[in-house]
Amino acid sequence: MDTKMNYNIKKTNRLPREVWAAAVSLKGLWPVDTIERRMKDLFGRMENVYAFEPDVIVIPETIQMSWVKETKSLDEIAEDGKTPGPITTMLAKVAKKQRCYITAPVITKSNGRYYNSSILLNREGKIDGVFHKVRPTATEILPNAYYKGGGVTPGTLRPPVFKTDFGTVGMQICADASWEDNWKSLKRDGAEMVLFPSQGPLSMLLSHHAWVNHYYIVAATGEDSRILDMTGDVIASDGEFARWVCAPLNLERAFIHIWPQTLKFKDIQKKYGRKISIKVYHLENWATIESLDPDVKVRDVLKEYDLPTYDEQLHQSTEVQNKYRLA
Amino acid sequence: MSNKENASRREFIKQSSLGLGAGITGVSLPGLKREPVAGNKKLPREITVVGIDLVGWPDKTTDVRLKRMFQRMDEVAGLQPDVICLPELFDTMWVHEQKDISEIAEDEKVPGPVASRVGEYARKHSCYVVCPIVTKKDGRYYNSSLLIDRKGNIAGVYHKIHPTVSEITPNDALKGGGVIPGALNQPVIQTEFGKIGMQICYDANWTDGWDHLRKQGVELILFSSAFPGGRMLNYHALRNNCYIVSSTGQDARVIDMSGNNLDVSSEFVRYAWRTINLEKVNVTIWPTRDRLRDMFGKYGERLGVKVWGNTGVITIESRDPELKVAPVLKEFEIPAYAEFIARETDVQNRYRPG
Repeated sequence: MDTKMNYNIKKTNRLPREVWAAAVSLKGLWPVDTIERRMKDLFGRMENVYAFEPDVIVIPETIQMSWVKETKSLDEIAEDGKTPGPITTMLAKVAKKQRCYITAPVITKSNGRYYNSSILLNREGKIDGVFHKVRPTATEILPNAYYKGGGVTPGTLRPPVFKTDFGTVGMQICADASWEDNWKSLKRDGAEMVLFPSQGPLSMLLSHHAWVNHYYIVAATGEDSRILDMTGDVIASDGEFARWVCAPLNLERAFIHIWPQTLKFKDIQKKYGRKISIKVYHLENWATIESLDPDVKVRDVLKEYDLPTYDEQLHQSTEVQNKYRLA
Repeated sequence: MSNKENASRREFIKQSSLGLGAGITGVSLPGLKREPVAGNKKLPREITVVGIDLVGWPDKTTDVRLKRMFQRMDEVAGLQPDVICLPELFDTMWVHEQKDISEIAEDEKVPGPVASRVGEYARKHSCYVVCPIVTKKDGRYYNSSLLIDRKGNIAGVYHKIHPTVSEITPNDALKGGGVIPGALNQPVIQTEFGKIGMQICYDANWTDGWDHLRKQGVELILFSSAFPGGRMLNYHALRNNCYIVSSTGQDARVIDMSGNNLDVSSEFVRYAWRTINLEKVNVTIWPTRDRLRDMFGKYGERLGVKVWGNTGVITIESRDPELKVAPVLKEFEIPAYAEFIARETDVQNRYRPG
């Protein structure tokens, strides 16, 4: 690929809330001897996605450490969550050049504690915020069990969400996938997309988190890279011929229960034609309604046809059930 | 597709149709063995489970519906099932002949007409059957699943916790009345092989009913439904570490505790079945993976081990009547899945500031 091509192409022909998300895996790139080699390999792989003008790129967990033979102590590799350290600086240059958000999954140090973190870099290459892995494994926590020279501290149970110029994103890391509360917290705080740097792929677990919380998940792991729909479907997944993914995601989309909403689908389609896409998930009795027109907002369509979102419908049903259930 | 293949397929469908017709007119299908088949020995905690779907609806009358479903039940009798799950309101759902709820509701202790017929089948084939019908208790109606035991008696009842608003609202989905949502704390049913729980249809959209069953140690959840549930059921199986047998208006499935489908009904057979082993647990891939070599070395084929990379679990089951899984886990210091998560959570909470 020509690395000198102009990546600052104006993004055209995109819907207002269309986001191009990318992820690169580490598959085939480990183990490596040095951090320098790791970063060189990673940047080489990342070049594959630049032509798509991604809005966000996700890279795997503890990028400077995972399966790198050159072991350094936590103190040597930990970066500051506010002032970019060496790895974050390298990634920030790419973020600025490509005008995209990038996750920088590194060990950070804050108030004398170490964290397994993911720093969110914005399109200017600046730090927008830091997420600390909520559920590190016990071996990561206990000093010198997994990390040299210490252990990491678990992040807060209410992880932050970040307002980007395309929507609200949250982050989770690896073992976080085995718990539910941290994912639900992100949903409650408005996350529309979750960026997931990881060592392991945990494929079906991630699909469940996606549909339970109705947000997109962009995963970059040591084994694969994947983009999951808010229904849990796989939108894009990598393979031996391309160890990266990049795909458009439309955030102007709602998740609803099919019954009795399906009775109105015909009228909606008749009025809006191709401006609205309704996708039905027959087995689960779900549907998604998506705007394909810059001037049509999904919320307005739901209101026009008196369609509750899935969460609203379940809330309404629960209220009626509780009213009629015997004490 | 070649003409020959095409002809075979058409012949199959023709024969299937004949079989269906024969069942409806009361002619027994050939080849059904109801006596124990020699050599069909099971492990102490192995059971054969069957889910039967409802595809083929609508039906004109309840009689037609029942004949059609009993014909499917006869088809699977040769499997010598321990448990059969039938679909939600299997006698009245999508039946043209609409009767008042007061006419179709049956007692929960003394079997009514439908439960009696199911009871006869259960007794004849010595199996449990989930019989999902409308029941009446203390003047109130419920969308229920009766568990009929091997002797044809009612062993327990489950009331759908989360009926739809249209089911609750009188004269909306159900003629002549509405159903009451079931209690949130319904018990599991202890059978001679293990603990059974039930859930119905719309319940799949909530987690509280499933969680309550898990807390009581449920090992098998029988899901009767109008809609299939799709990936929602795989999710419930995994997070509750239990098997699920589903029986719905569109499909039937047997789902493993790993969250993966073991069998799914199809256009060729409208039922799903498997012999499942309740002497089996979910464990996490780490640290189990590092201990497999030693486990294999000591126990060989006495253990059935499967690694499910997609859900991040390993299932370990005993293939030896003399061997229990719990002592093996203890021997190799492998925590069960839930135990592992609890331990990790404890460490996290201990080290998390604030």
